[in-house]
Amino acid sequence: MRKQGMAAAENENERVRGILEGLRRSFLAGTPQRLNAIAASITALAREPASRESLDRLRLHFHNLAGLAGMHGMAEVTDLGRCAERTCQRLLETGEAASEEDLDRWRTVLDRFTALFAAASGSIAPLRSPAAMTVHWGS
Amino acid sequence: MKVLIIDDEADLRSLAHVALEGAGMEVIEASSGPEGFAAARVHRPDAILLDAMLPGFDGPSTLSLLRTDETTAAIPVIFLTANALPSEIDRLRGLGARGVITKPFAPMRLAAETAALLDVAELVTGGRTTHQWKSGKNG
Repeated sequence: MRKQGMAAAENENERVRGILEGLRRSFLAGTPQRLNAIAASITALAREPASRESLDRLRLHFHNLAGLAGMHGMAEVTDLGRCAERTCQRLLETGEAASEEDLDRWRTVLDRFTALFAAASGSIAPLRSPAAMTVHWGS
Repeated sequence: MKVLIIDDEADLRSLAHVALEGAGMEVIEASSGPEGFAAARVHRPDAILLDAMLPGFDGPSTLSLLRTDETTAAIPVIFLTANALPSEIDRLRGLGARGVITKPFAPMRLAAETAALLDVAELVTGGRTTHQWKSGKNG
C-alpha cells in the first residue's frame, strides 16, 4: 500500500516535471520577443539617454528575464541580467543619464543572452533547478 | 490549501502554479497588487505569495492594503523577491510577512518551502498530497 502511494507520488512528480519542461520550451520560444524588447529599450536610451521611462522599462526587462531564466536553470542569464538591472537601478536612483559605456555594456549582455538562448533552444537540456533555494523565515 | 500568487510576470505565475498544484494546492493567480487584493477578498486564500517588486503598486503597498481589510488582514503573506540582500530581507520581514523566498526559486521545491514557512504539514496518502496546519494560521 505504502509502495503504491510512493509510486503514485513519483508519477505525479514526473507529470509535474513534464509540464515544467513544457513551460521551459515555451519560455525559450518566447525569448526573441523579450530580447527585442530589451533591444528596443536600449535603442530608445541611445536616442534619449536621460529618459527615466526607458531606463525603468529596461530595468524591468532585465529583472523579469533574470528571474525566469534562473528558474529554468540558466544561471548565467540570471547573473548577467541582475548586473544589468543593478546598473539601471543605480542610474534611476542617482538621476544620471545612461552613458555610452552603459549602452555598450547592455548591448554586450544582449548579445550574450542571444547566444545563450540560441544554444539552449538548439539542444534543450533537462530541467535543472537552482542548486539552492534561499528561504528567509519571518520573525 | 488555497494559495494566491500575485506577480506581474505571467511565466513565473505559470511555473509557480504548476509546482504548487502538483503538490496538491489550489492556486489562484493575480497580476497586480489591486487585482490580488480583490482576488484575496473573494477567494479567501490560506496564504499569499506576493512579488515584492510589482511595478506601480508594489508588494509592500499590497501587503498594507491587505492588512487594512478585515477579510484579508490575517492571511499569511510570503514575499517573493529577487533582492537577496540581508537588509532587504529584514525590511520585508519587518513589514509583517510570514517569510521571504528569493527568486529565482526551484519550482519543484516551492510547495515544500511554502508549506514550511507557513508551518503546514504535507501529508501524502495514496499518492495524493494534502496540507494540514500544525498551528494557527496567523502570525
